[in-house]
Parts: sequence; C-alpha cells; structure tokens
Amino acid sequence: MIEKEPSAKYWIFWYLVVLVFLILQVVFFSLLTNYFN
Amino acid sequence: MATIDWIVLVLTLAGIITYGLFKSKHSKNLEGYFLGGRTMPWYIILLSIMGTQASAITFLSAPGQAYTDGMRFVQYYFGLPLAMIIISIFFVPIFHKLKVYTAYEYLQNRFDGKTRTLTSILFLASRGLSTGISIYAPSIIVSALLGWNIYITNLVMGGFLIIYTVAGGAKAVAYTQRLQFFIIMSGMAIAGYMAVKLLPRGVGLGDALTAGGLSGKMNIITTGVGEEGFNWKDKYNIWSGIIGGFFLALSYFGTDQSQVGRYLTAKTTRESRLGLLMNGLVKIPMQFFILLIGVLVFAFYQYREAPVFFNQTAVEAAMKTSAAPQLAVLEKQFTESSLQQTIWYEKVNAQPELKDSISANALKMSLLRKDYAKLIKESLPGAENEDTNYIFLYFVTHNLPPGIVGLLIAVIIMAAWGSIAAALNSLASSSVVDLHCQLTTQPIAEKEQYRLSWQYTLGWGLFCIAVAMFATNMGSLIEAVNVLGSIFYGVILGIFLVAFFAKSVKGTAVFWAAVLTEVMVITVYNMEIVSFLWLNLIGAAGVWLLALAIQQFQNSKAHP
Repeated sequence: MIEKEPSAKYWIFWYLVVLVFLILQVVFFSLLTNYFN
Repeated sequence: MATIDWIVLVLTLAGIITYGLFKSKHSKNLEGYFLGGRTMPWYIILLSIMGTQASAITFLSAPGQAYTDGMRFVQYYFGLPLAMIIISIFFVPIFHKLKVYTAYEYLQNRFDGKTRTLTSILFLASRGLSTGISIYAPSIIVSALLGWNIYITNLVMGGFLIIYTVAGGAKAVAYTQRLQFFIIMSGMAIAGYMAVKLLPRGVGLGDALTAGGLSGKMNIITTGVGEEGFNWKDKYNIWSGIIGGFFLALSYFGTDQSQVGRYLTAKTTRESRLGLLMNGLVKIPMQFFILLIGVLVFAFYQYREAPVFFNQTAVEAAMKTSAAPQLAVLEKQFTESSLQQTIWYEKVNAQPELKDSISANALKMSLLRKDYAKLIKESLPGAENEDTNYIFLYFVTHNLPPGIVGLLIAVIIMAAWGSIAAALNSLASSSVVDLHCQLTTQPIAEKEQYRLSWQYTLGWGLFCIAVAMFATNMGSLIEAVNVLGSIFYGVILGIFLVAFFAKSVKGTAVFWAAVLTEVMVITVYNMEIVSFLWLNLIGAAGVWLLALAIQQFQNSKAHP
C-alpha cells in the first residue's frame, strides 16, 4: 500500500513548530536563570 | 534493600522480558528481524529513539550533574531540535527511498564498497566498545551502593535483555522500549515528588529552587564568556550546545545505526519524520525535568547532613590509607559549613541579607568537596575522582521509602536495557548487511540470513558483556572509550554530508578525506585545545573541505 506523502506546507508547519518551541524554551530558561541569580 | 523492593524489582524486570517475548513475533527474514517489517507508527518511533538515547548513565548522571555543576547541562541538547529538522528534510527520504537496512548501505550506492566498509567498521568498533561500557558504568555504581557482586550486576544489566532482543529483533526492542519509557518516567516523577515532599515542614518547591539558585545551581543559560573572552574549553554553554550539540545530534541521529535502525522501522517516511520531530519537541523539557530533580536533591541536602563524597565505597577505602587524617579534617570543615548553611536557609526568608553569606558558604563547600575528591584520587590511584554519578542513587537508597527504592533500581536497569537492546540490534544488522553479506561471494538464502541475524545479535551481546567484565579491572580505559564517540562521529557525519550535498565528490576522495581528518581529530583531542563537543564540528568540516580539495586535485590531474 502506497500512502500519499503530506504536502510541503504540512512539513513547513511542523519545522516551524519545532523551531519556535526551541526559541521559547531558550527565552524561558534565560528568564529563569536571571530570576534565580 | 527491603523485601518489597526485591519484589518490585524482580516483577518489573520479569514483566519486561515476558512482554518482549510476547511481542517478538515477526517475519523470519532480514526485514522482519532488523526493521520489524517496516510497520511502526510515529509514536513507537519516538519512544524508541528516546529509549535508545537515554541510557542508565543518563538517569544516574544528569541529576548528579545538576547537583554539582548546575542545570547548564541542558544546553547540550539545544542543537538537537535543529538536527531533527535537517534529518527529516534530507536524510529520511533518501534512506526510505532506497529501502536500505543500514545507513552505511547508502554509502555504497553513492560512493563505493570501501567507503561503506570503512564507515561501518568505525561504527562497529566504537559502538561495540561503548555498549560494553554502558553495561559496566551503571553496574559499578549499583554494585557499590547496594553491595551487589559486580560480575552478577553486569549480567543483570546487560544479560537478560539479550533474551528478548535475540528472540524478537527490532520489533521486540521497540515495544519493550515503549513500556520501559513509561515506567522510567513514572519512577523519575515519583523521585522528584519525594525530593520536595521530604523537605522540612514549611519549605516548598519555590524555596528549594531559591536554595539551588543561591548556590549557583540554576545556571540554565550560560554564555561561556569570561573575563578573557570566550572559553573554548568550557563544556556546556549556549554556543557549544547549539553549534556543537547540533553536529553531535546530526551525526548521532543521522548516521549512527543504533538510531537510524529505529526510524527505518517506520511504515512510511511520514511516520519516521514525525517521530524525529516530536523528539525535537520533547527532549529538552525531559532533560530539564531530570536535571531539576538534581536541584531538588541538592535543596534536600541543604536541610540535612549530606556526605562530602557520595561514593562511600571509595571513602571507606581511602580511610584505610595515610590520607585518613586529612580527609577527616576536610569532613569536619564540611559538616560545620553544612550545619551553618541549614541554619541560614531557615532564616533567609526573614533576613534576605543572609543571601550573600549562603552563596559564599556554598562556594566554600563546593571547594571542600573538590579537595576531598582530589585527596581520594591521590590516595587511591585508579579510583574515580568524581562522585557525580553516585549522587542520585545515594539519595534514592538512603532517603526514599521501601518499594520506591526497588522501582528506581528497576528504572536504572530498564534504561540500560532499552539502549543496549537497540545497540545490539544495530551492531548485528551492520555486521550482517554491511560486512558478512558483502564479504561472502555466494548469495545467502533468506533462511540463512535470518539465522545469521540472531546469531550476530547473540554474539554482540556476549561480546559487550565480556567488555563490561574486563572493564571491571581496567578503570583507566573507561574514559578513553567514552570519548571514542566524539572522535568518530564528526568524521562519519562528514562522509554523509559529502554524500548528500557534494554531488561532484567521488568515493576515493571522500575515503582519503575521512582517513586524514580522523588523524587530525585525534591530534586535536590529544592537544586538549577545545572541549569534546567541538570535535564533531571539526570532524565534519574537515572531511567536507578535504574531500572537495582532493576531488579538485584528482579532476585537475585527469583534465590538466
């Protein structure tokens, strides 16, 4: 059975989700570091 | 350990083996055995790649790392999500399209047989030895803290998993990793909860984190920039994490068969990609959580007496040497500082001006610990001079209630099983597909290939146990074997990057570029110029540049 691959837009969405989440984590960790130091 | 701990431990481990055997039904051919018939959904891929990466040492070491050095270790994983994106875009479609069994098989299609053989041998040598050490390293800690015989501990840590790994191949590995993962996460959550619950009355999570912060443990983001500029030897900072960590994750997930073999079991390219991308989403929060447990354990020991050095076996041995009087003096100073710290922590909410005294005292205690460790190292040649890996299990065995101790010992053993099982499966697949079948001139029947597959899995299992047993008597070799990965990964990644992106480069150029760069990486490592994460970047960039240069030279010779 050959399944249809999702569109390029679908993957771009996921890549952006991973990137934005990484940036948010770095921002959150920076705030935590500043708060506790 | 109490009887209830033994019951929990034995039941959990026996349950995993039974479940592995129950899930071991597969087609009796190479695809069924090594790739689970390519039928896995993305969430099994996700749990399988996480279970493969997180070994027993991850769970023993990470909380201890936060206890001694703070939470900055989390930055080591910052490059991982970026690597997941690059692997999803470029690596996964090629591996799936060519329907390869191993990552190195692709190198034969793209270059030639010698490049494939060289890369698979580099993989087998480094992964085979490091898997042996990944049995021994947690065994020595468990045996020291629980008084178990080291050889029997090695057998428990690396032996029983062979039963379901040989019987069930990749499918059994993936399904047991799923079950193991849920038990491991539940165990760690209970340990974190208990660390807060055991704090004195009136001291909560916020106070615990403040205590960690005052002692410099909440240093989650660091820049590596000091008074003399950027420190290239600084192990964990945001730049080494994002750049060095990116190349490390790219080579580990993109070219190490123990990981590639996990996402090749996916039924489609989509399932592989989703599994990898979800790993990019959840890995950092998971590591943050495990490190946070280390800070909570640290806070816990601010309110009650902590040992100066958590490896009590080493302390007892050192106390029988001439260093005993000096050790006793350091221990007395540490205990006094520790008691003072507890008094200040209890008053700090009412008297915030005590914060500076607490920070200064924390620094003094940290230096006392270093002096103590140095003295132990001097009095016991060959002994470990760090106790980082002992801290978490010491906390578990000395402070948690019966039942939970057994569960957490099972967690450590299961974490070992998950990564070792995947390693054995990948070592066998590369041995059969990249070497045995290539070096045999006669075609091998499907039935014979299947027989070879489980025999190689069993053979590698026995080899890794033998390495663990020998390592018991070769303390100093362990560190050397642990750095093997960093030394080879960059070069292997370089070969794959040239394969994917430098279409003009041919086999001979990349082969010699890899050999020359490997020599260069080993030289840089021996010169101790940079921390190990940067070796991945140097290896990959070296192969890339040299391969292009050699190819250019060959072209100019052919067409002057």
